[in-house]
Amino acid sequence: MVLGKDFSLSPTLRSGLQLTEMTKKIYDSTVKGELGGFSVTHLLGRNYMDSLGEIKKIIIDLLDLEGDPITPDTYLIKELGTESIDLLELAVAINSRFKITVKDDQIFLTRFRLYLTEAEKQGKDIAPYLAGKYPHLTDERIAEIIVHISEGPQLKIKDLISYITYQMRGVKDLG
Amino acid sequence: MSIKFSGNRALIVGGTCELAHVLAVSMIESSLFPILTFRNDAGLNAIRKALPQFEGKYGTGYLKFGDRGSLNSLFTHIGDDLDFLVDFAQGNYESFIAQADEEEVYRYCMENISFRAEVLKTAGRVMLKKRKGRLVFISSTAAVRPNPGQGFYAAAKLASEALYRNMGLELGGRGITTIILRPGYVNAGRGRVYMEEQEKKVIEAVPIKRALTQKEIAETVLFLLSESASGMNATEITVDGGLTAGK
Repeated sequence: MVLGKDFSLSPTLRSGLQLTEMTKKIYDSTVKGELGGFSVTHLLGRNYMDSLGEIKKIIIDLLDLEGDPITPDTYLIKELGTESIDLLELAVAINSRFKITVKDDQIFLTRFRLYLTEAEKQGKDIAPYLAGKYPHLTDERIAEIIVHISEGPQLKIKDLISYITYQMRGVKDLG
Repeated sequence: MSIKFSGNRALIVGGTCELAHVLAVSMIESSLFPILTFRNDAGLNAIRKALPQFEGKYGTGYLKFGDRGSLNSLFTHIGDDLDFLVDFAQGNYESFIAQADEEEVYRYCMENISFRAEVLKTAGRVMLKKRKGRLVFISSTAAVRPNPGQGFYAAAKLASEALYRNMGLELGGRGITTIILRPGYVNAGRGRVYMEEQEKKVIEAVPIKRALTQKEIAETVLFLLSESASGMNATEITVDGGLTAGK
């Protein structure tokens, strides 16, 4: 599969993108903050917001940022210009702050493209294959990354939080 | 010149060799706190026997190259408090390349190269938290001038040198630097046995007409750990009395 600017989805990839109605509904509702009348903060829970706050602090400190707004949807590499050495320090800081094991390749989605090609070459269903490699990410998030991967590194702040949540509690979050 | 150190706690990997003991004494005398690793009871006893008068002024920790559990528990014990690392660890495997046992080659490379990379990764990440650290790898002139049968030893030393060099290259900007020391003939350990057998040959080969003493190597290491040497990063220093300079 060639991931050029105008690449179109192969049949395998398209099938991987088909989301179940239920998860799609939850995903849409979560993004809009409308599920069951709860706000996004309520839905995602206090831990999520705590993790977001901590991650923001770590990144602002590491990258010496001043006044740049960091949200769950901020691209870590594309927007903040994070370099390899910064990511290494970030991994160390996350390990230290949250007391979790950090696998750098996994949390930073370093090998995402490689796995994508691998699945394609081996004729495997792409979405489940990637879900196996990144158990902390939701199917929706994996689908989103695949769709936009030709636009540059897709790693977002919310992916870090997903990783932390998964490592701490063994569950995926919807952030 | 007074030697100053930026830090206090020094992990001595491969802490059961004689050179490590001499270095530990020099460190203690310089108010550093060495932590010497051992891989079995005999090693631990050797450390205790070598440093009887310094109880409480040094630490020990179990580390067996190839055993990830031992590495994890060692660093759990050390925590975030590590300023220096000196690496003497080196297994030996003498064989002609064309005669080597395949399984032994894989095991040797895994223990002496791959596992060393894990040790470096672990120590480097601890040091990154403080953005400060100094690592010294004790290599050997045999890395570049091996005798027949020393091919695997030389390969492991050169590969390990490359790991240390790159670490200094990658983390130098974050205050973590590395240096490689290549001693020549030293009157200690394996070198002593060789020199007892080949004394005349050694004296003839070394321009200063003697082997180096353990104390000389220990003091060189201490200098390399000091603030005075902090500009020396990601490179190697040879201390061999001139052995490898000529034919």
